Amino acid sequence: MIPAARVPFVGEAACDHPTLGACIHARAPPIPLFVAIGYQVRTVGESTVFEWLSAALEQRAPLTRLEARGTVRLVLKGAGLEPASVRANQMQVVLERMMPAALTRRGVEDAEDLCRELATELRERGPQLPDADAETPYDVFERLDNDAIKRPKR
Amino acid sequence: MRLLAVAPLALFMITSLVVSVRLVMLWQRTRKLPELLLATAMFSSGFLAYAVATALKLLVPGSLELRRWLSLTMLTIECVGIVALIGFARQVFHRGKKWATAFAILLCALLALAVSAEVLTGEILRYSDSYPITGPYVPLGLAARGSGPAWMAFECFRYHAKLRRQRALGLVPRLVVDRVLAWGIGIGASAIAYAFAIGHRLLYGTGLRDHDWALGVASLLALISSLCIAFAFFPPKSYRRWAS
Repeated sequence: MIPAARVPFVGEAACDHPTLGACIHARAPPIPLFVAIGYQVRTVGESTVFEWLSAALEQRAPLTRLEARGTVRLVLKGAGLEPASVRANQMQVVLERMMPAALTRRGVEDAEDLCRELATELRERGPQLPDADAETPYDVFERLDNDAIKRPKR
Repeated sequence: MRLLAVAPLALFMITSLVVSVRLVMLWQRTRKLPELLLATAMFSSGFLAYAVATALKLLVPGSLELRRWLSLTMLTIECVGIVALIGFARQVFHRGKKWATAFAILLCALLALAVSAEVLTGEILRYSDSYPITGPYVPLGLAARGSGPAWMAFECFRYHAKLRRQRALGLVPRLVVDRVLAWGIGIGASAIAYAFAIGHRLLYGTGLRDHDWALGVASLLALISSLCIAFAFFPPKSYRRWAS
């Protein structure tokens, strides 16, 4: 296993923006009518946490970039999640529950330790990671409830 | 017997009306497009189009011009609802994906084409009388309009499978997982009703109301649809407690 080094978050090296990853989530200027009815423009790309974990695996496990990204993609698919919308708290659960077995199958030694390390790092840095900017179908269906009308605005 | 078969259709209309009004209230609070699209779909296709269709059936002996005008109004309202449903499926499940936008545009174009063909050939009148169809336009129109609910139901079932996997990891609550399934079944029942109407038209040429058994099947589907949508939007308190 390659010694742990801090893996930069996507966008960190690319720009000085105070919000990590802001560059990859750059938006087109909103159209007033669309904004009025609630339309949101979304740029398609992988989430920051996906990019971070892929880069971390590439650096700390004997996996190529393609293998690391492919492994994360497959594990996320197994968990019913998508690389474009996965959030830090979800990735943490995936790291703890599913990733060790997937990495072991790919011949990574000490996969348990590596995943625990990454999960701890993610827990600490998670709040700093920008979530995918667009809402997921889950967010929509979570709202489609009579009780949501009375709920305070988030 | 007829009255018994019509009751679930009335229930479906009432459910659609109530849910759409509540969805508009939700949209006023959140200002998010999915709520507005679903409210439009429920109100147009589930309530208003049915109301006009009922008026149309009561006016069967009315003038040709009146029936033509009402049929066109009904189809236009229904199409507005179906377009909103297509928009919902695209906006919620595949936002930002080019293929989904292209697919949604294709479905809308097919919808416009099918309605135009029904109007131009005069087949639009077959919705208000008991004469058999003379061309493929009515089944094609039904297929085009059924594509919206079919896509939405397919996406709900697909997403429900993903949510079940997330639930196994404790990432999502049961309430939302079941809600997605209920919407899928509710909208899917509508899609099946369209498919059933197509089959009936192809076999007999006339509308469902000419056969009591066919009306019964449509009523059963309407009942399933209204119960599932009501369950999704107004889950009972006991279920809510159990699910959480």
